[in-house]
Amino acid sequence: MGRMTRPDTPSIRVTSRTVGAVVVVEVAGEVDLLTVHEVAAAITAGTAVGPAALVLDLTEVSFLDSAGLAMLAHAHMTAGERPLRVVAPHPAVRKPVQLTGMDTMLAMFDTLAAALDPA
Amino acid sequence: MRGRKVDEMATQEDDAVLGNRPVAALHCIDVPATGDRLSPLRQRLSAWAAAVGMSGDRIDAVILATDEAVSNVVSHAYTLARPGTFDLHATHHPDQHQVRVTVHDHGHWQPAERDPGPLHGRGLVLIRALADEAAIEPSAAGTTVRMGWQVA
Repeated sequence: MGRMTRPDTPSIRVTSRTVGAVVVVEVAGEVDLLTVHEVAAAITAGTAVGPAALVLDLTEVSFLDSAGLAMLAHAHMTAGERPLRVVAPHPAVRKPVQLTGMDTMLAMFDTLAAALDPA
Repeated sequence: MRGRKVDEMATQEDDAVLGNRPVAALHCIDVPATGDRLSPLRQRLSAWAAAVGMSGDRIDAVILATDEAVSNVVSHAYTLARPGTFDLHATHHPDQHQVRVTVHDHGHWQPAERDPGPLHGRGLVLIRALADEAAIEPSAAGTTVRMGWQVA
């Protein structure tokens, strides 16, 4: 399978910040079995501070599989009163979400701006 | 890596794009069924599919479907106490206008617990939606997932 050394750079980067009363969790890279726990941990931590809403910005996600979908479903179902908004303009996220019908469950946005100020 | 790498990717770029000659097969044998293998495998398969001349959308479909099959092996075919391996074969059949990707493990389906796992849920849905043809073949010797895509 070619080089078997671990990559020098991780395949995912998760950062969290607040915009007013909203927590924004930004994910770049690949969401799969190996990396999904980092996103889940950031969502849990972000939720714990009691934001008005939690925005999961997946604009820079290049790959997401059913491990990521399961994480999104769990985050959605445990969001309770606090809405979970997902920013996902690209097919890497949109396609698996749509193919599994999860677009009817998740609040999806094309831009962070739209997610921060939904109509 | 334990095991053999049988073939390397082809470099006959022009013929690969035209699909006149088959791109050399990608064989990954005895790959450890661990999560850290997913990303390198996706990259390898992506490069192979590009060499075949598949379009970007089709490559994405091959990558995601194969990732689901492999992820299922990582999740369910073995136990933490007894980690196992899987084989992946990607083959190009220009005379039949087809690429095939096969994932074979040597383990046993674990009983479904609270979390039925990717292939018992969305993973299988994705494979069937993304591949032109898909077959899941469990047996006492392991499970084989066969996926096929039409190519020009």
